[in-house]
Amino acid sequence: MKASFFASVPYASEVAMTRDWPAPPVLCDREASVRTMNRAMEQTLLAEELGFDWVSVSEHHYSPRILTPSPMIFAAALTQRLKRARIALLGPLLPLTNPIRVAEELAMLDAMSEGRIIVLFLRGTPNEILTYRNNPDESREITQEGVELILRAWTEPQPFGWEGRYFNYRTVSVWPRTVQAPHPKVFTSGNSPDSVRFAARHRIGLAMSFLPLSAIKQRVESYREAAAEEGWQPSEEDVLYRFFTHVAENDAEAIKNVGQIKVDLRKIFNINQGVVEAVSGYRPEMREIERPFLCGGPATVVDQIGELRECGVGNMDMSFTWPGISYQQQLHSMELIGKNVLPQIRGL
Amino acid sequence: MGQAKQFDAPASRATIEVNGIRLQVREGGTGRPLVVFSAGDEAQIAPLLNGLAERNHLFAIDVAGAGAMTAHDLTRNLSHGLARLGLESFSVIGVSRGAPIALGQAIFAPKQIDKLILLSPPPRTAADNDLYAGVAKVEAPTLVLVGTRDRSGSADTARLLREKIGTCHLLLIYDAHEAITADRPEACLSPIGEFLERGAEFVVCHESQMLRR
Repeated sequence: MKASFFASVPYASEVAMTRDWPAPPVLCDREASVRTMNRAMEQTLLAEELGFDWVSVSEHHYSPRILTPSPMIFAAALTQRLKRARIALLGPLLPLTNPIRVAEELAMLDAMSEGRIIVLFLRGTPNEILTYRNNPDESREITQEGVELILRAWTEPQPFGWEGRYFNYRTVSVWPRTVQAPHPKVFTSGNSPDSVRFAARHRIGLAMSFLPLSAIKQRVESYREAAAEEGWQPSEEDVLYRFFTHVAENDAEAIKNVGQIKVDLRKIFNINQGVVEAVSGYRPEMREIERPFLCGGPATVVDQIGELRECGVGNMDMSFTWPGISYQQQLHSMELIGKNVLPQIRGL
Repeated sequence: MGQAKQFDAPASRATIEVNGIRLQVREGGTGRPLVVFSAGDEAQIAPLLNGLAERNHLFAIDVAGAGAMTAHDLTRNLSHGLARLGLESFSVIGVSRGAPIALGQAIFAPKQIDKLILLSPPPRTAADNDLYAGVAKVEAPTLVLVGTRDRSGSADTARLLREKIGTCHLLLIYDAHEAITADRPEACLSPIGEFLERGAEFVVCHESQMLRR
């Protein structure tokens, strides 16, 4: 089992935290932005020191919750500071960008990190589609075409043009090539059945986030069945799951720390309800979460990870943020994972 | 299906004889002369022919009747037959099994060929060795189209052509199988039309990106 620390890069000031989306820029203290980046880098370096296998970054916009609208830039800095850990971009939002540019930047990062890049291509949480005014009804199709285009851009030996439904290029010829051959490990969202089939067809990894254990198990089984129809067999290394984590000295303390506050991913931002309905559609991961997926003392968490492994998950991406959990508590939780949990799960 | 009549209605039928073999020719449309070689896959290429006939004087030649004759042997003697149709300088399109014939025409009669376009060129076989030995002689601006879901081996042939022909452009048609003209006719017609019009300059975008003045 591989462990990933999710560097969510939250704004380093409690004063201006807001659930409004978009958050007004005037609330952003300029000095706090500097502290945010420095603190996030320190936390990331600690994660490597504690033995985490990967560090992940994501793309989110217009909010103090996650200050990496360009995950490529933070990842570029990580390539120069992390010595061992792999750097997972989970992930670039393809409907919001030019996939060829993404292919080029990831290839650069793969060279800068000497082949340590992992990537998950996503379409974005419902609010993200508002960022550059993209059409939510087409976001899945755009993402899937973008994934295929990037895979081609990394593997075609000759310059080519692309006549797509959403992308049209007459000249594509990416330099540098990726260090990893044929390309970095790629995941795609497995939160919907259609996405599961897409991952199987393209022989790429399956990533899920914030789904309950039963849904993970069902998705992995579907993925394996679809892959078998395509003539291949995925391993646990092809399955990634992102979730919230809080570990304390014992179960009682962990439960006390996370308190009674629930995280409702459907209402994580204050957005006009009509707008939310217009952009969301059915998103199974957008649900109310009562407590972090991993929550308890180290021994309990080791058992919980064992259950996850039994579902076929081989990579876990852990977010240590939770309402009411301080930065110091996050660091302590990470240390407990590094010292008391990771040594126990290496063989899983 | 209104467009279908545009090619079919005025099309006249003829035959040309090459090495004792009769090949069916349908002629229609108006504009610059354009020869299309295909091999019996009428339903698949109908959208292509109908679209091309809007701006081209089209000669659709079915090479299915060529039987076991190699593309090399057929194309070496094809020019006389084409001359009898009044064709001296023209662009040529080869669809699937018609692609080697179009390619051969560009190799053996390079001065005749204005532009060469190949769709889903089939995998090379030993019988094609003579033909492909001369592929670097192609002088015409060349466009090769292949579907991203084509599992026939066309993509390898297309890559080879892109590598060996200095004037060649490779265009991947997203989400199309081997029958790309049936799967995504507009995605084929649009770049082919631009390529016939502008040649290698079809890579330049002149569409306005202004949203509002």
